[in-house]
Amino acid sequence: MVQDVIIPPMLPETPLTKRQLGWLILAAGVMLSLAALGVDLIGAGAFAGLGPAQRQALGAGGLLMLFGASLLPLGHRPA
Amino acid sequence: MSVALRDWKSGRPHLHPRWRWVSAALFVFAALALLGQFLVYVHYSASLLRFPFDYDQGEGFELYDAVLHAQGQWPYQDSQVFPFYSSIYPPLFHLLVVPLIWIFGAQMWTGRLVSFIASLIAAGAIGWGVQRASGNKVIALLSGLTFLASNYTFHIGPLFRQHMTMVMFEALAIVALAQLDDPEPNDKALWSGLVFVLCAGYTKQLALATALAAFGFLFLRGPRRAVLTGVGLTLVAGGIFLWINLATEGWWYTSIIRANINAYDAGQAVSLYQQWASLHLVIATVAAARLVYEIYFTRLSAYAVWFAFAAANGALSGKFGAGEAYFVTATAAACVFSGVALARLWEWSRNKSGRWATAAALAIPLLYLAQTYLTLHLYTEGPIYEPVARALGVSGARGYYDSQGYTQLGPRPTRADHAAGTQIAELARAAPGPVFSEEAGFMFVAGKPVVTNAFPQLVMYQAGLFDPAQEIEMINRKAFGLVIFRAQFYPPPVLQAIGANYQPKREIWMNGFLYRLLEPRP
Repeated sequence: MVQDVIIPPMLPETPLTKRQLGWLILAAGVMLSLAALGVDLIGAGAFAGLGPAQRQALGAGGLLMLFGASLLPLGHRPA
Repeated sequence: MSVALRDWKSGRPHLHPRWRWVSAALFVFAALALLGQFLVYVHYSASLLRFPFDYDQGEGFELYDAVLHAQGQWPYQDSQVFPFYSSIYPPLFHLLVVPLIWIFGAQMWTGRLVSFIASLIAAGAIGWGVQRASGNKVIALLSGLTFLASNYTFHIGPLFRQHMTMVMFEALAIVALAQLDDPEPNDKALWSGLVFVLCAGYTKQLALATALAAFGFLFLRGPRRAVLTGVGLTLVAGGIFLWINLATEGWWYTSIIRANINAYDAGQAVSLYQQWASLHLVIATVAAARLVYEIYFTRLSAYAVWFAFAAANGALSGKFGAGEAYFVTATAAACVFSGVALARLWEWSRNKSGRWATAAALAIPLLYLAQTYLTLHLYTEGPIYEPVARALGVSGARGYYDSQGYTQLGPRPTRADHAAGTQIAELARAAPGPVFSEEAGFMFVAGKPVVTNAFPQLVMYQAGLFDPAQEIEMINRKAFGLVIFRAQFYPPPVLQAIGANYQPKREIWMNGFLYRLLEPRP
């Protein structure tokens, strides 16, 4: 394909696809879950083990991952 | 010509004429029911415009914010020194009221009128959005009226509060951005949408969810444009933020951001979610179903993204001091999105077989009727309301029925409430020196300076941002000629100091609340 610019833009101007949106949401779920588990490492957790807010964040992260994964089979249709 | 009107004139090809007329009658009935609710809203608003005192606690302080702006002063101050006042809300709503303050003085009706008009513009934007997306003027009208018929819009719409103006800007922003999906979108839709997002944010912080929805939608349509406009808007909004923060020597940041980080109660949020969902069951369900459809079977529209973010933002209603107002944006989003969904369903069913066409033609107006019934609220006394309330089989305390159940907002102020307010204001006027009042409305009528802002003091005290030492020192000196309490939302040490130095003088009922007036102990 011939580019009409010397340096193509880093971010595409084309609409996001369902699959791309799925990956983004899945990544957000993973990050939320890691953050929920990671707060204890920096000493921010107020409870021994998993606190109630951590459990809720982990649950939300899991739901986000499931939701993101459900979009992956939808392929290149515009989101 | 509107899609629905065209259908009735030319006839839906597979719809029996008898069902066509039944459908038309149901649509007319739904429109009349919603129009009736709108007239109740106008009546309530007119009653509040005539009431010169606080109807909802905090209105008087917002009036004072507008007065300070009218005088060229910022309301973001050190509240630890006399007059112990600071505002915790952004300035745009108050700035919109300023011209009315300049012309008519510090009147409670000024902000209530601006807020009421904002609710009408928000409803107009909802209707316009549905009409633009579907071409269906009838469902567009029903969608806008459904927003005005919501219990939450009704309660909050005509108050001197910034919330409805924020919702107006949010609705205008999303409706503008939705035009980017037009076959020939123009830059005007993008820029006007971004300006409205900025306005919403500088009206109330809660608009952050709509800002995220706006950029989420832009990101779906083109990540590069979303990032560039996002960076641009952040620079503009951040520049304004820094300018105000410098002008107020940092009190803007303390008041707007730090004072708004409150304790969170998940149970309160769940309870408010349940209430919102039960009152708006029809439009919320239709919008949620359409959201699932757009996620998996077609493109996500601006309204879909807005509905998702606005509904999720309701989780913030668990904050200390939050309430039903946190769901007005979700209601607006549900109205416009469900309107689009039903208008599309109407269009889809046009050329379907008789059964589908009949089902859609009857179900859509019936859904609007059911939604109107769920949010039913009206007065139950008077020559017009009484027979209507009797016919509907409803009754309520203080001459007002609300499907929400008990509600502080909704009943019209009575002559007794006017008299009670005047009595309190006269006692404040007669008191020597400043008056320590939990509501500022009395001070404007009494011609006294506004001292303290109860709720922000309490939340700032809880956050360690407010040291009441100087305020307590004045209380100990009995420097205030009178204390007026309603909910006693002050820091505990302040209440203890008042209890030690002041004694009960009078108790007066107004708007269903007991106002306790205290005078210095001898």
